Amino acid sequence: MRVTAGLPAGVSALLFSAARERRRLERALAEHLEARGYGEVLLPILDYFDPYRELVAGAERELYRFVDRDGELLALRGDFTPMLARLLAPRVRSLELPTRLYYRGDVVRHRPAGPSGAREQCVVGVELLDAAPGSQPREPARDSAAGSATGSAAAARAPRVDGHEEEVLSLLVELLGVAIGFDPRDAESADRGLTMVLSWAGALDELLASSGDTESAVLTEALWRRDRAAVRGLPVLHQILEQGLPREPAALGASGGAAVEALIALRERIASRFPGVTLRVDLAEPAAMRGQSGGDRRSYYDGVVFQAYSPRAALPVASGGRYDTLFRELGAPLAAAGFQIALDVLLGIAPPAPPDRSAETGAEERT
Amino acid sequence: MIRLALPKGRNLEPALAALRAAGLGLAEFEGRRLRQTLAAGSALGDGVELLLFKDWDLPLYVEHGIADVGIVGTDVLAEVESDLLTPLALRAGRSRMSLIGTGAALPAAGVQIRVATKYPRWARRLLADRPWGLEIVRLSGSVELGPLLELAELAVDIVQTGTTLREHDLVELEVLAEIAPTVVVNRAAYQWRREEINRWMRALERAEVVA
Repeated sequence: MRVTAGLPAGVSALLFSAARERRRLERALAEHLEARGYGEVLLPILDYFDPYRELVAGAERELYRFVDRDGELLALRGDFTPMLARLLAPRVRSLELPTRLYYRGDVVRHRPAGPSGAREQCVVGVELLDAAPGSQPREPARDSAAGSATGSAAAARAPRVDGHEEEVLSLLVELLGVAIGFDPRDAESADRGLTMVLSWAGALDELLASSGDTESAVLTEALWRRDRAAVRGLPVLHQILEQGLPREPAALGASGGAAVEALIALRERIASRFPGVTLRVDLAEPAAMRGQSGGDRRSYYDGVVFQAYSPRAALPVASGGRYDTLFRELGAPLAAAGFQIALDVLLGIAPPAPPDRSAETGAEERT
Repeated sequence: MIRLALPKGRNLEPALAALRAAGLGLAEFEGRRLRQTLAAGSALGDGVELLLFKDWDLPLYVEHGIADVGIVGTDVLAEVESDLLTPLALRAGRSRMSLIGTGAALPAAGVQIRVATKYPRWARRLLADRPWGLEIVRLSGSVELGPLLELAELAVDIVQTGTTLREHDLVELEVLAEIAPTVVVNRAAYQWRREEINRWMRALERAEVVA
């Protein structure tokens, strides 16, 4: 039983069997993650607000914030990844790399009404941290607040994948297989319709920047909405809008072209391991578009980004990607990749557990 | 099979005309049935499930994935602020969102006015930079009565032919925005029905029924 009546907009209470289902799913995912060598971390629900002004620039407006009785400006946890980065960056020397961790719990963000309007969301997430390619972790800055970023995220890291993306993507596919109850290694599972969409944050920056600031913002919005009229006469953008990527990757410039080549190679590797999953490359996906220079839709992803879709869910089941820049801006050059699974979305498509009559309280039937 | 949401209101006829022109077989369509399946034979795929919704509800159904694709006016989209893809706008069925009043001129700068509308959120955005003290009053219908009966100095409402305004001695003072029936698509549905949806979009473009 899920109850929203009598509660603030965007939150709900899970009672009895709904709570058991959520916990069962959480446990199944956690057991799989432990078996894969990922260790659990528990993070607080409250943090200082100030570090997030820079760390999640734009998205900080979604945070619930308040001044406590000591006069501190605090925020409710809106995302695990930036909090983890803020806590781990100053301690990078004590980390045994690669570090594999996972977390589970609620994040709270203010959102408009709609199917994505849940303001409290339960997530299970994974982060894989490793030494940055071609460098060793150095002593981080003492101040954990964000430093100033120089240059674009896309320019900061050459567009290539190095195995971390493949590990977390594969793990995500396995987890979704466990939760939904299908074997992604079996080609016959493809009829389950699980679709992984791969993209690259910032891959279109060079192409869009060449059209000037104003036009770039218009085109970014057009791609975001898949507005075909707005890209008519612009064959490369039209191809991206319809097919997900341009016929000639070089049309995106050196950096964007290399990103597309890397994405295609990654897709082929994942597809060969998991023929039961549909994989596509789409540079116009929102997760990647948030990496564009346009307005307030920036995110911390700076390389491969991905989202998982199911035909039975109106929202992505999971999303993730590469975010080295987040750690680098905190003075800790690490390779970082991860994902978050939206447990409530997953619950909507996962098969229910067999009924456990002995545990039923009886209250549910009478309500 | 694609689930297509159609609006019951003024955008139904333009939507049906555009779909027919694009090759979607609609011979079996019954305007009063809220849910119906049109069999294969359509030029656009293996049939379609048609769902009829009130215009204001349609974006919600598409956003929740009950329907994959829909057609609804940009006026409704601007007011409800759904997170939907909007790949194409139809040529037919266009209208305008206008500022309507009883006098021939806009109010002078600095005066306090009340504006009646069915679209309070959009009206607030459209009039944000006006030099008036502004109060928005939400009405659920017959918005032209607002200025006519002096509930409000102005109204923000849809104007199609202007006949209603002329009948009530009202004046279209300014066009604030163009309105068009627009194709909307659920983001998730786009990813797992991409080929089919793009085929529909191309068919609408070929039929030259979209802007």
